[in-house]
Amino acid sequence: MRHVKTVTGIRKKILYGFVILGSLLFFSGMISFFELAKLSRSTRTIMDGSIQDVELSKRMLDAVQEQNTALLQIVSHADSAGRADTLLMEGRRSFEEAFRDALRIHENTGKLTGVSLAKDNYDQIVNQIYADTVDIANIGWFTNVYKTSYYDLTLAIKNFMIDTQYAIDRNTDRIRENAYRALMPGIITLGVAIILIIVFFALIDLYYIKPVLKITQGLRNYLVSKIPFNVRVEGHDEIAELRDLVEEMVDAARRKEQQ
Amino acid sequence: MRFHVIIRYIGLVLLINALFLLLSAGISLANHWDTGFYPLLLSFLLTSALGAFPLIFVESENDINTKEGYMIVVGAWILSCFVGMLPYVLWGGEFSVPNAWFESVSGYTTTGGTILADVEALPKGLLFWRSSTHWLGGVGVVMFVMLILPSLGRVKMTLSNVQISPLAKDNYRYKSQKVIQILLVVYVGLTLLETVLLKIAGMDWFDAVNHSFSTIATGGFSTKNLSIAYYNSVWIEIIITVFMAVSGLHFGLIYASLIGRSNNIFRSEVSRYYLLSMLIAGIVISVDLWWSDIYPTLFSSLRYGIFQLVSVTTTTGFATTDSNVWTSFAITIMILFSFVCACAGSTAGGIKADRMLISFKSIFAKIRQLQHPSAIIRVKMDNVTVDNDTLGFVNLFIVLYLLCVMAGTVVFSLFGVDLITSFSIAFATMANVGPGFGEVSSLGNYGGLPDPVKFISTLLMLIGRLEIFGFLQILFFKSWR
Repeated sequence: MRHVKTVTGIRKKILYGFVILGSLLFFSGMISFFELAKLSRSTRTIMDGSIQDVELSKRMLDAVQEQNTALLQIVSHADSAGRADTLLMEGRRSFEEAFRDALRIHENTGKLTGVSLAKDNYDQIVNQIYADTVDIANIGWFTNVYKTSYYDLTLAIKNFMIDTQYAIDRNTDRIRENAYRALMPGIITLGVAIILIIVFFALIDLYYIKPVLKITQGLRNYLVSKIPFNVRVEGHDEIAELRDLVEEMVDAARRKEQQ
Repeated sequence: MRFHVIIRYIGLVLLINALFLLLSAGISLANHWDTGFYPLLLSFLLTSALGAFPLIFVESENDINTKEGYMIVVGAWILSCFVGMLPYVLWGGEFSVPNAWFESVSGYTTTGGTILADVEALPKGLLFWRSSTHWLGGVGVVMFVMLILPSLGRVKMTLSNVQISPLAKDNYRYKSQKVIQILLVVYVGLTLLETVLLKIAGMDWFDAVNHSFSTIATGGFSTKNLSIAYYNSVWIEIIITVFMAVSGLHFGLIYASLIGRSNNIFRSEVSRYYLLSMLIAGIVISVDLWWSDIYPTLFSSLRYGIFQLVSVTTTTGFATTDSNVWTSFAITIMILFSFVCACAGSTAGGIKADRMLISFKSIFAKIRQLQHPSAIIRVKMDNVTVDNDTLGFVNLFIVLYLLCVMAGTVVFSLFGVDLITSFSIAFATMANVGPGFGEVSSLGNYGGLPDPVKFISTLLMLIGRLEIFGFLQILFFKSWR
């Protein structure tokens, strides 16, 4: 009689099968979860950055407009109480503050180069007005020099804002790619899990279900028709031991009957 | 045919793939946890699960018959291509499902055609995996040619006769243990040697390993968009040219030469024919390029001409220049050599020099037979008579091969691909060369082709890789059982 020395058999094999399937689903779930978290984080960052840039652009535009209103008041001598000077200073301060904030965020990106150049030019002209070195009453100077500088600055700020909007569009591809990476592990793992389940079933059928059916049929054949028990099974586990034991039992019964 | 035994051994092959996936994930991790890490890690887990699953249930079996062996190799190849595409699909970027499948099949069949417009955009781990598919595919080819084909039997699988009987049989019929020894000595040895030499010539370790994997497997995947042209180094080109040429020789012959056996490279008619024809064609192309003012000096013509010719003949597919701009004469010679290709028993694809030589000899024999009808004229290779069955099958193989190329050209043109490109794709994928001419030239890619063309191309790659008859066995498997 052949004995199975260690319990290498059915329970362990089926357990391993399930452990593999379980770990596969667990790890792919973890990777999907990680990628989804990454997707959520990057989407939040992109959106926050975009909102922040729009806010900064608005602040810069408001500040320039404030300076422009004050200068117009000075040029048209409409400011009798000297409030325009305060308004101009206030506008410059607000602009500097907003520009510094923007610079801090986009320090090495070069996104603010246009705004920075236009700002330097505009500041220089405002300084000239402030220092009284130009004839502000000259309409030609006002239209050609001041207005051009003012429009350049507002255009640069608007470009910065538009660039931010385009960046959202550009980042959409990144978001889509991240979403794809978060989704694919689940889909592929599901496909592989289905294949493994089919293989699992086929192997359980081959190694356990079919042998049990064969042994049952062999035993029935012996009991009903006295056909010798001759069953072959795959593997060397408990099923094989069962087959050996049944064969031994049938042989013993036959020997007894012959006596 | 025992299904469970087959899946056990396919599982073992998948575990080897899993090992390389883990190695690639390790490279991603070392490269600051790049974007390739999770796709490679998950692919490793999936491949390990697929590979390990049958091992739990199916016990080791020493008694595997030849049909089962054949199914193991073919099944392992196809499933390897499937698991090979997983990291690409998971990573995304330029890899849609058809693109990932194309890249994977191209890798394992050592074709080397790519769908990538920007190879350098891939993370290092994924680049390493890409080259690994070549290397693993190359091992598969050698195993298939040395272990499986010779054992499939004379009547049913005469292809083995084509590759073996004309030559001294004793040197080629190896037992499985011997094949592993040959693989270790020749395949791994050549890879290590080339890696070190490329490093000395100026490549970094990463590129050196990747290019060695591609060269020894006669694949052609590079880590650079400009392939070998990126390095613009004569030494690197010389090293790669030599190793491409060596990898086009029968691995058993290289081994025999190394251990000092009498039937070595220098005494083999096929090896002599292969090396000499390549040298002559290389010089002729170079002189033509120089003559036509494509390159200013004879040296640069030789440099580019010989490299590109060896690259195409050995079905590697590396590029140092865009051969699309060459003369019609040079392009025609290149196309002819990409049909003939290197020797049987190497990792190269195509018709093979062995078959061409036998075919040429049989033509001359036929002419002499017509002149002397009562004479008994035999075709001999290395002083061994080639029997009529083998002669018939060699010619049948060549006809079938050309038919496949023609059918491929017609099918590709159906999808609106121009004639030159259609023909190029057909011969370049069938011979596992990779780059061709037209849209898929040496510095172009397959990315812009319609998806059905990509799928059919992969079919041609597999047909070419499994030496036509090897693939046809799958279609007629029922009658073979």
